Amino acid sequence: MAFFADISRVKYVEAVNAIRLSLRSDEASVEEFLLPLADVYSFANTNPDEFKWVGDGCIQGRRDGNTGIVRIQVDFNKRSLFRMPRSSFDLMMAQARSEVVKGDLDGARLVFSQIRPRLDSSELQEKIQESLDLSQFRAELLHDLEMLMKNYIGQLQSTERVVVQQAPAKAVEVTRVKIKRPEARFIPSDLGKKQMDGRVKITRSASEASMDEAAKLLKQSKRGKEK
Amino acid sequence: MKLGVGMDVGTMNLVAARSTEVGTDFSRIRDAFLDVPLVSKKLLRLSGVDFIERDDELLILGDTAMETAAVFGREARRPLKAGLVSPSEIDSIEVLGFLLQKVLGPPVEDGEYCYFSVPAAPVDEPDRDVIYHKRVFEKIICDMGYEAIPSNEAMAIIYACCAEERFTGLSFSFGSGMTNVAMSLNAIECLSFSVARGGDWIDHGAAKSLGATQAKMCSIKEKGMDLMNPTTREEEALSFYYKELISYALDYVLIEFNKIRSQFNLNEPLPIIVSGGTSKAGSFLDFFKAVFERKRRKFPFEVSEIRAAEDPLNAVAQGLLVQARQEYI
Repeated sequence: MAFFADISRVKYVEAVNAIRLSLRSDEASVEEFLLPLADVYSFANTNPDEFKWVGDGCIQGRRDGNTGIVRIQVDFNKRSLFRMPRSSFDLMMAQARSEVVKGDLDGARLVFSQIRPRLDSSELQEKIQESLDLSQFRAELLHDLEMLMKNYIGQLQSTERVVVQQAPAKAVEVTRVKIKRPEARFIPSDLGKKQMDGRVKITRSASEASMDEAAKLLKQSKRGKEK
Repeated sequence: MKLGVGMDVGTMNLVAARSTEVGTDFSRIRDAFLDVPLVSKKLLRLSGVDFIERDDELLILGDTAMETAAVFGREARRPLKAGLVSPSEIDSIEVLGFLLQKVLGPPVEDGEYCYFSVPAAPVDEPDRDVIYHKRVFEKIICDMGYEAIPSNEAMAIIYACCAEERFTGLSFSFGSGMTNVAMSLNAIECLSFSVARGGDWIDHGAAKSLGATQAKMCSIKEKGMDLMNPTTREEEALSFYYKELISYALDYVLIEFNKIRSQFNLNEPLPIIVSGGTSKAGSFLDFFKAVFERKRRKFPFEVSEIRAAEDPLNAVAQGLLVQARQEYI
């Protein structure tokens, strides 16, 4: 059965000018971290001791006579600790030192996965508020919901449905969907037919403007859409 | 007389438009009536007022009803309230049907197309029954021998006033009962809604704030006043409520457009057309522009110009006539 032989592996990634640190968490899995070059530089070029953590950035370490511990900040409120034999820890430090020199320390930049712990949360909140127009989002969401409901109600109005779901067992579940129709309103058949007679003053006026040109344009416009 | 007729069913006026060889003919009647007891028959005859007899009462209709009501200190009855008929006013609908027959006349041929106006559902009073309104008029006009086709009131303004822009624009129909709004892109209706506020709301608000009557406010408004330069307290009150109405309608354009903005790509600026009887007040267009300027920054699309319909009272009927005429072209 295949397994990861080495406890750690350090490699410089040129594309992002950062260090990739791979750490074996058990025999079948490895965790990878992309670390800012400056943080690894600070960590690799300090002599660790057993009393305090060394390193300024998101990677820190300490060691005693037998073991070494690497501490990596992976999120705003989360750190992962990896314990390993002193020899493996020293080997990882050596690898880190040799890889760091391949990079351009001045051109080092923050790696996105490691940015969040370094940002002030209030600043982040401000950026979110600036970019997110909540009222617009609300209006769009309401509109989408309204359209979905209209479609759904439209489907329901077209026919009354009985949904039968066949369960794996013999039991049959029947769901009756109630239909909400617009309230029916009676209109008398003789409405407007009552015999009334008399004279009414009607104001008549005339305009030279003809509506036929506009009607032709409208017709053309409708034909265009039909095509 | 050419075939096809446009019929604007408004809270204040019923207007029918027909094409002739030389232009367009309009017939208009006030959408109001006054019921008086039978004993007044002799008096009405002497004063030369036209009336009709119904059961045990006399009805004075149209403009005459408004004039007579003012003389007797009464309020004329209005069959439409806030732009719509109400099932509780079925008696009034009979009168409305009669007025409609008088103003529309018989069809030139059986099944002649008659496009009639219907308001869009009011967004601020969603319980108002637009469907009942539409069906009542569909029935009355069909019974007269026409092929009745309902059409949105504000869209009719686009058909009447935006032919040069290929029927693209945003229209406001400031009516008596409500304000209708429609947005059209190449004759496609993208947005239409109404708010249950119009000229009556202005009169009511101004009257209430000054302890006057609604009729008095209406008469001040109709006598002609300059909205930009109100001279009396009454005019100032009317001007205040005009501003509120325009602002209210524009705010709803923003709200309603935001619901559909993702569906459209407006590359070209749109013209805004204002129309309707309430827009006949002096300096209304300048007043509208001034209110709009304050909101222009918030507007989600560019506006090329703001203009008034040439004939605000007849614009809806004209637009409906355009639709009716295209059935015969």
